[in-house]
Amino acid sequence: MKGVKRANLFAAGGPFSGDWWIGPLMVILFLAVWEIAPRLGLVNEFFTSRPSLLLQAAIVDYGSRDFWSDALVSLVEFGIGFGLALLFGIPLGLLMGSSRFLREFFTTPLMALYVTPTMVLLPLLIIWVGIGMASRASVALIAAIFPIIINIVAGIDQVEKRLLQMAKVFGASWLNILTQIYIPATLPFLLTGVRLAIGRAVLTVIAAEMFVSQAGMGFKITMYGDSMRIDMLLVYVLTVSMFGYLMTRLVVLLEAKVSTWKQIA
Amino acid sequence: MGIHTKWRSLGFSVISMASILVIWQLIVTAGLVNPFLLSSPVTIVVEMAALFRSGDIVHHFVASGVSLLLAFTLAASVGVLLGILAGWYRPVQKALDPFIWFTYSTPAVSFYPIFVAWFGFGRPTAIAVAFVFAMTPIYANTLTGVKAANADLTRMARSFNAGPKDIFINVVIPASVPLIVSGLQLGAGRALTGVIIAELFGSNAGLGFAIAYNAMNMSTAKMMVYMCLVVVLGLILTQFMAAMARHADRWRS
Amino acid sequence: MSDQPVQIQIENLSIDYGARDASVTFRAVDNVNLDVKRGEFITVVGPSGCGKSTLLLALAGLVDYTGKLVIDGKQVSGPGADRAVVFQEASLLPWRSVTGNVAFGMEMRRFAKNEIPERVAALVELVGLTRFSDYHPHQLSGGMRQRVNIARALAVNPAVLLMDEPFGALDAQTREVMGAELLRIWESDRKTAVFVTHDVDEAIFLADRVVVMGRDPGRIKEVITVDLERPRLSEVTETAQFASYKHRLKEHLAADRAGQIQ
Repeated sequence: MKGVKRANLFAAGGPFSGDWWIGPLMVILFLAVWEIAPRLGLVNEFFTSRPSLLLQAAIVDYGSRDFWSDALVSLVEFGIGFGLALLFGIPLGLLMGSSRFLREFFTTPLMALYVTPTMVLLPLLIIWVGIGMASRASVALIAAIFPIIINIVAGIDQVEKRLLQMAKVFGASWLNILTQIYIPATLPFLLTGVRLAIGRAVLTVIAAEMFVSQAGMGFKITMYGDSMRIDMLLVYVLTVSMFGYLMTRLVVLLEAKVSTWKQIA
Repeated sequence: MGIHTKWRSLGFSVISMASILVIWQLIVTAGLVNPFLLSSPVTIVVEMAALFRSGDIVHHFVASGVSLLLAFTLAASVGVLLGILAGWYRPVQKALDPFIWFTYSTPAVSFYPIFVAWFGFGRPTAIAVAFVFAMTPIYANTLTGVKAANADLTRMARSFNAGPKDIFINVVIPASVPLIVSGLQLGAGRALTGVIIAELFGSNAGLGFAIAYNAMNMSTAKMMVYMCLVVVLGLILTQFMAAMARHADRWRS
Repeated sequence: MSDQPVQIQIENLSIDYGARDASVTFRAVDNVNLDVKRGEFITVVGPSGCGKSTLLLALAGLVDYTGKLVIDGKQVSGPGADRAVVFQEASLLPWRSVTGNVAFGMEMRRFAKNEIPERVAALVELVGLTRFSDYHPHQLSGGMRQRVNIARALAVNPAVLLMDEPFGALDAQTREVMGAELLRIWESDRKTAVFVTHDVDEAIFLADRVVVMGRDPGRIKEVITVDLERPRLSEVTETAQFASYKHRLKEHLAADRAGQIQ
């Protein structure tokens, strides 16, 4: 049934067709309410701050050296923790995946530790290595290594027996099988594990810094929380959030690329 | 899994845990590690018995348990409800999207100072942190489950004059149960993490609080007792959720 | 058969696929004309892409069309209480048992609650699955699932039974058995049935009349009356008459493959 055609922004082909604009609209509404409510006296600005204040604070702070030195501390702790998790996690995962005995033996303790909030180990680690960066990097390492190992093992698990048989028929050595079959087949699972590891590592680094306040983004978050400077607090929270989001995005892109060839196979 | 394999993996679990405990005990007894840094399993058990008799363990265990229960119930109700709405009505999903990926990208702990400023130290903050942390995967999984309604089943129902409401109740919701359940499993683990971390930072009771308190007092053995209890609580939670998942999965082979 | 009234009237029926405001549409079914009498068993055969399933979907009220499509005097404009569909995918609800699934259609069509259990039991018995009443779909074979599918469709007491290659996913032997079973079940009621298939033997064995469709565009090429006695026994497939029908149908299909326009 054809109606009278009118210039309709919401019609098919128009700029507002579809529903892509709903999300951004809600964000704008949210920011507007957040900005206006304190001004109208509906909420206490002391507790909620305002987007305009946040913006001012952010601009000032991003220019200060202070911000970048703390950001660097957090970044280093994250980098070391996450990097070592990859360095140790991948070989450990491959080892456990290919040895049935190792897998059966270590599954229980591994799962027990996986479901435990890693932060619980932090006080112990502090007693061992002190309150410096080492303790925070190591707890991040522990948090990040589990999803990597577990996912690699899961990946190896699902490698089709037939591929292995085929390789053996052609006389492939143990090393060949490892590099030509296991590693490519496990790659998608590894990336999922990496994505989970990033989230856990970021969370743990920040949480650790909040727990033992010395330096880093978490330290700043606690500091501003204690002094009720919600505006600065939120600036740091959002900065961490953006970092986590960017890193996760990167991995998601990698995952997408890898999964295309997986489907063709 | 046949009975044979079940006993076999149970056997392996027991042996591996036992060997780890034995090696652990030997390391400390042999003096390879300063007992101040690491308590032996025996010491931990002794200390645990003492703390249990004094009622401390029960007190803290229950405190964490209650916070966990409240936080999880809240996260589950809100997460599933929003997930269903968002899965069924696309505008709702689009409206919630930016806020959801924000909570996904932000470490839930960073909300802790805000919640402390609003609610003070104690249970409400622990529940708030755990709620934010746990709700996200519950919502995401429910959303995916509802959206993945099987086209064949929907067409079949339509051929029998089923209206949108009929299809929703009879086809979409039952089919999305497995995903909702796995979301709840993830959420439960996260709720536990949220509660413990919040207690770790500053609270007045709970397993996390006990760990932090004993750490400050350098009572390694007591601290490790509570750490083990957190592991135990995590295992109980996982097994419980897995049992629920199996129950919900009854009709699958 | 000739004394029965016409139940389904199809006149100048065409079905087009394509977005409403798109410039290119694809004509799936072109100018079909057919009358179906009450109680007739019609099969529709043709190569893939000839629009036979699409035609069935139009009869079911699940697809838009242009032209005249009237059943029992009413224009088809959506799914109705007078029709039920048996799809190739059994589309059983995995979380319901056999009885639960057979009841589903009646629930959706708002049958009286106290009537349902009796009808369900009767139909489950009719399709021979009483022993498996509490089984779930994953515990049933493909053939058994299709029986549940058929029972569910019959449960809503449709005037017309529409079937879209219901045995297409089954192996050859099961298909033969199911074909005979279907006729046995059908004999008890003799509902008007429209059965789509690509299997030539099946088409002749089941039908009173076979509608042969061709593709590019999808249209009716011929309607062949099958003059074999009912009830049909499996031996009938070896008679010379059966073979001659088969020959005619195969000629049509071969012509389609060769791309000739008949």
